[in-house]
Amino acid sequence: MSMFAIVLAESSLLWGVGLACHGALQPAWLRRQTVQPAISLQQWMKRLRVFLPLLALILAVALAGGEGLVAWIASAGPAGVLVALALSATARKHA
Amino acid sequence: MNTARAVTSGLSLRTRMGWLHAWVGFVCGLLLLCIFITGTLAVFDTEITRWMQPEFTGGSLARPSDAALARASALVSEQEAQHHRVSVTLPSARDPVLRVVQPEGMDVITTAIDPVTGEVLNLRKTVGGTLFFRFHYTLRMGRMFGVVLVEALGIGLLVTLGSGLVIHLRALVPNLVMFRPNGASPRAWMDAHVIAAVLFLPFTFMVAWTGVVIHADRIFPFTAETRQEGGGGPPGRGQHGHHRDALPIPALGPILDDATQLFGEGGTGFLQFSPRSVSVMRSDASTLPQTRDRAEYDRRTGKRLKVTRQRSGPAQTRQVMTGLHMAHWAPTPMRWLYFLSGIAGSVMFGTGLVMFLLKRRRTATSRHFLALVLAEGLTLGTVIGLPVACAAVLWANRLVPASLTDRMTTESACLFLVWGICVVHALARALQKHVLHGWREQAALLAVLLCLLPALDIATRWQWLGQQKQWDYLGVDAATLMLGLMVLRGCVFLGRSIKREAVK
Repeated sequence: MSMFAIVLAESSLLWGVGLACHGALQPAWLRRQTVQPAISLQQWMKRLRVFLPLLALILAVALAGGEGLVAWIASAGPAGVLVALALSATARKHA
Repeated sequence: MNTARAVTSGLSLRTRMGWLHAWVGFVCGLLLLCIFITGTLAVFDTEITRWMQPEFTGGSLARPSDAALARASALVSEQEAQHHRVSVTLPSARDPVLRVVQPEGMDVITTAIDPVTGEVLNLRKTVGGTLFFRFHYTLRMGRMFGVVLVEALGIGLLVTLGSGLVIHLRALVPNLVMFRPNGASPRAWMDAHVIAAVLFLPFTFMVAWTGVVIHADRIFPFTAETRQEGGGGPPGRGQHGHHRDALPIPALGPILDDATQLFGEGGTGFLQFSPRSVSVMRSDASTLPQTRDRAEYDRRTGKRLKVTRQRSGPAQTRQVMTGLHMAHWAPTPMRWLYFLSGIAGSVMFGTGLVMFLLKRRRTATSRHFLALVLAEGLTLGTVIGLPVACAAVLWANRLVPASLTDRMTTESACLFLVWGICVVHALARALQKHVLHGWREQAALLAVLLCLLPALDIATRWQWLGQQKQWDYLGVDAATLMLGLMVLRGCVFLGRSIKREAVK
């Protein structure tokens, strides 16, 4: 597995988790849930949604330089789409 | 007059930007969608060309043998004698053969040579992925007018993106990953539009910006770069006489070895020929900036004349911009990300066009009937019609006999013929006020064409199947199948919408 592929995988994963935290904190999504995350968990999610993409950026640039930066930017989209579809499916299930 | 001015000046920035976003987005959007769809396909142009030449079995990444280079030289000399400009691409990981490339109008004729044996490979003539690539940046309207039009549309895209950011700014962050497919009619479209636009905004902005910049010399001919570098264009563009006066081509083996020492192993990309010199260009795949460094050799003696490396600020900026846009440097996973981002861009345009029409349809009076029919027909004919036409090219490639003399013309004609039929069908359905039926019919056709393409591939490639590397074919087949299934899902959704409308 090349370094570039590793960077792509880590960026996608960290973006995905970060965006999932962001999406799960939105009132529009929370309203449709029967069980709300605990306040302390919400605090953690708020930190993670900022920290994880930043960590992904640092790792991407450290491991693959300029190409890592491109990979970091490009991986946000597909990760976000997957999160959006997953959140929409979860919201529908609980609706 | 004063009242009108007061009302106008009272409009918020968001409202003004909304108007700009809607109208610039719609007027440019139809053509921009075509540019995005073909650009998305062009990311894999080499792989599509391979798919369209199913007879291909060999290939090698090793330095081409002397016999192969001699065969390429002979073919180049033949073409030069007929006043054709030709180049030779060297084997690469994506295309492991030697190709003699000759531009022919808007298409490119290539002759593939086995890099080991030097035999000319008996592959069918095809427009290949080049059809989509050239359409992407010229719209088949010529290298001057077409490119300038695409430039102008690129600027339109930047305007649309900027104004879109302003109007969606408030809900941008909360709605970043919010998709509500079961919401009221415009909600789902809006969510899809925002997700496709915002999550892929860096990519969309990058391709729009770099696309405009790399052909900026068409609009601003005297750029800082040309002033500093003294032109810097490739050789053979008239500065060294005519090809009919060309000297014989020297042995290419030693030239290639010398260039490999200069640019590194796998760093050589292609050869260009002018009447007095042979140039070896650095491979675009070797670095992110597309440098086009070149080593020039005397055609009489084979001795190196000079090495050109453009390293000024403006030149490096252009090289990075070109590299980012063309993605020739990108490894396969990155190429797939470009492909996915291209699809997202197309979804952004498609959903934007649909929302524009949904809003106008509600407020349209009988006076606007014809304009609305035209807009709805053209939108359907572009959003679904062009992908249908692209899929039809792949079908035509496998169904038209390999020995047909005008294969390339037939394939490119197929694109425009099928597209034209789709547009006429869409306009007819819009005129009958059954445009939703039109969407479902064309989407069903597209789903069938895409889902059955893998079956067609295996059925028509059966005899060479055992001797081939499967990755390129598998990639094209898997992508078409996935897209086909997604369109099929959309088709079911459209069927439900039609039923719901009928009940109302």
